[in-house]
Amino acid sequence: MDEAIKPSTVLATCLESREWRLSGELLPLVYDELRHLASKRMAGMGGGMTLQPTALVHEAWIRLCGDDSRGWADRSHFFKTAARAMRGILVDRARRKACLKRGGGMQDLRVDEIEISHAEPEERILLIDDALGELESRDADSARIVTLKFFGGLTNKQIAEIDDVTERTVERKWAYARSCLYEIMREQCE
Amino acid sequence: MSVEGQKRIEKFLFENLCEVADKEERAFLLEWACRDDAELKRRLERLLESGDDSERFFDFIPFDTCDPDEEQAVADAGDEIGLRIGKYRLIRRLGEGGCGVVYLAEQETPLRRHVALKLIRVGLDHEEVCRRFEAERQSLAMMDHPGIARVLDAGTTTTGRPYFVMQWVSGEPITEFCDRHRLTIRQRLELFVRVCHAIQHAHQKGVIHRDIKPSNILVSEHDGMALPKVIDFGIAKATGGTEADADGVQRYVLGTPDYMSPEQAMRHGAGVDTRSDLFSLGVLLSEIAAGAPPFGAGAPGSREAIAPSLRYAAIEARERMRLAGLRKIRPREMAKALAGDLDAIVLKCVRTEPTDRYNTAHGLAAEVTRYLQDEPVGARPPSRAYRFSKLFRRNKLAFIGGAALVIALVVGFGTSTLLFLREKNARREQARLRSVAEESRMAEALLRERAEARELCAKASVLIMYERMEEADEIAAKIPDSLIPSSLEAAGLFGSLGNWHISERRWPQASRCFSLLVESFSAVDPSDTDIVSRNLLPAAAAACQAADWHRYERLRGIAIQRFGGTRHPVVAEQIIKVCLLRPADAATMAAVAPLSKVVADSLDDPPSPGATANLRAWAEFSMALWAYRSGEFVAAREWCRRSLETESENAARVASVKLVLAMSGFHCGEEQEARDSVAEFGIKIRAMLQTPVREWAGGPQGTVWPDWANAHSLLGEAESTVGFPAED
Repeated sequence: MDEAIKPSTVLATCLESREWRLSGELLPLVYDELRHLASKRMAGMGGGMTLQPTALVHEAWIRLCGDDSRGWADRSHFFKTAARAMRGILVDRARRKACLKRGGGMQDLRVDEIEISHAEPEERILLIDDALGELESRDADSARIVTLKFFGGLTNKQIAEIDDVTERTVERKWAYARSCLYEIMREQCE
Repeated sequence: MSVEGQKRIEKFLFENLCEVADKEERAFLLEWACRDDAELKRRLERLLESGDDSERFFDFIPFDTCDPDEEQAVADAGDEIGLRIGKYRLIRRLGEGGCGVVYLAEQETPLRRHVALKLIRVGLDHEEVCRRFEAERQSLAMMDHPGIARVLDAGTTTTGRPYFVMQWVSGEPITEFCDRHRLTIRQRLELFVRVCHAIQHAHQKGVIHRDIKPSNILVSEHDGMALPKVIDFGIAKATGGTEADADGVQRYVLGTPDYMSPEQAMRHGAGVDTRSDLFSLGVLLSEIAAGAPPFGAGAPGSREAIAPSLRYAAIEARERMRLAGLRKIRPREMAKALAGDLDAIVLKCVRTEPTDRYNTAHGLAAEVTRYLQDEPVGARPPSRAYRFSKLFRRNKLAFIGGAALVIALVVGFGTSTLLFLREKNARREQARLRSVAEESRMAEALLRERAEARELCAKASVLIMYERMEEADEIAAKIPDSLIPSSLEAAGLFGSLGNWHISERRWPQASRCFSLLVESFSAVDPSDTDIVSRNLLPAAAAACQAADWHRYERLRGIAIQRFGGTRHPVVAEQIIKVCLLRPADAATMAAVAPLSKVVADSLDDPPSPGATANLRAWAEFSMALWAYRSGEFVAAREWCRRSLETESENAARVASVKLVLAMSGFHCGEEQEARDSVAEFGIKIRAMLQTPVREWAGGPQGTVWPDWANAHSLLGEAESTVGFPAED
């Protein structure tokens, strides 16, 4: 592989530039890696099925960065990006699954047709994703917590380290974000 | 108010009201907080209500949205396959236990090999786990037995989960192995004896397993021989109960209920010793021999033990048939084999009181061996009929021999000689076994005492963490000097206690603590650095203050034995100070001579930029002391002057140097000057000794309390040298 387009080289550049949020290069890179890993696991390759988001993110981190010698700051930035990527992958997958279950075809699934109390896991993902869009406009910080925690699979402790707050604070923020999100879902389904 | 402001208030109220568990109280607070804002109140009510629903709604792993087959596969498969943890790569999930998941992993450096990696369940306090594992590491490293899988490494993952790395053992749990190979009861017992020997080895190294059960004893076959290997040693202790109860005493809540001894089940953590493992071995014995543990359902500790033969008899007929078949005998034979000796052995193992059990795994193994050899077992109350049956069975060989002799008389002489010799060998073997049993009984006592000492040490260390010094001291005082464990834990314990005693001026107690610190620490760390040797200074100082000459002599011995050959100038200087604090005999002087050479050589060089003036002045003082004790008073005065010239203010050192200078001067004929000097510094030193010990330390030159204590010791000697009456 050409040295210039090696994922690790791109990543290293991104890591050094420290402009993660603005980085147009990093997200697709992480996204591709995560999707690749997920599909490999789904196909039963690699000796088992690694489906935990945390595990996928870690594996992506190790594959892209080569080792885990980099500092926590790098890793937490990476995790934030990975959580966003993971959301895309999960929603994509859930949409395909839900469609298949409802008799195939790729016609658009309407979120407001889902019964909130009986939602299947993949339907829940779609509901959450949809409501998260709304929450982002109302309360960006709560939306961010949901992305990290639910889609990124990060623990309270990891989020606490990223935000430099106590785990207790993260727990409270998560409780609030969750309730708000649930409220939005109820509004949309009613 | 801005929308943003409203949001903040809503968030604040939600987060705080969430914490209020009492519904009425919460409603009351909500009512009050939102008394002017009905809309806010409605929103908060809805948000708070949806708390549980929303929690349930989010309570799933988003990637597990697969069809049923897939979900099953997800439940079965590991989450972390392919992950790299430290220098290990996870290959496959081997199993799941109480405290975590075990993976087969590959180590890549420094050598490629397969290992078993146990990833501890999230939720256990990993710092505590790692700290305890560190404490155990020393003893775990000492275990080297073919029947024990070694613990190789430990660490934490990037997400903070602790893990252990063990030698990988490809085998199956002992119960499954026995059944799959349809081992006879005799073969099973022989295998069990080997397990006992492995456990005994660990106990001798002071390690208690605490979680012996079939899945922790893996058996594999090598050249037709069944080899048991005990895994997970030390892990139970490291991952056991992490909270301390109200008394601050560590609890160990672990083990598998069926195999757990009452003292473990009752959470008397401190009461757990090697005999707790003996309990578990008894349950294991019942399981592999009779196919059932000696307890029915119920809480451990509150249950009545049932003899294996009775347990077997109570099993349903078809199952009894199956169990007997797995042992290649008929049910009736199986019942007979279990009744009597095996019943007695198992019941003795699982007695509630540890003192009623076998004392060691060796003792248990010897007993099972005696059963296999048809000798009387100690667990069984001796009745005459019982002894007779044993006598008869044991002498079957002689009996047959006797019958054969008649034939031999007819057939020829050779055969009878052979039988005679065989009989003789049988007797010799019996005698040997008896002496083995006797030896092991003697070793048992010592072993038990050592294990108890370790437990006391651990208990006291925990109390220290809670700063409960009196209680810790009381426990530490119970540990006999000869049984002090060689561990960092013990060294830390006695260091803390020693400092505590010093602050209260309890010299005799401090002397004991610092001496024991030296003994346990110098055995743990074999390096030739001043990290170890500097611990001798407070020990020697405290011993001299306490006039504990016996301990002081012993410290001198340790100092010379451990560091007599050092090439390290700082170590040499410290050892000279320790050994020559008191007048020394010719042998001590001869042993210290090479050290004075090391120090003198280091002082020949011009002061290196790194070395502090303080260290140099101390080195010069140690040379003065050496010269003085050698009777070279002129040289001693010269060294004293050099030490005083070196620019460094340490009042305690200056006082010591002045005293050596005065004593040397006295021997050179300057008697009056010597007396004046001793009198002057006597006042200074005694004034210092009146102040609290913590004020002795400190200053820019890092004065430590032993400096003043040593000055005080030298003062006593100087006063008697110049002819002052003894004061202290």
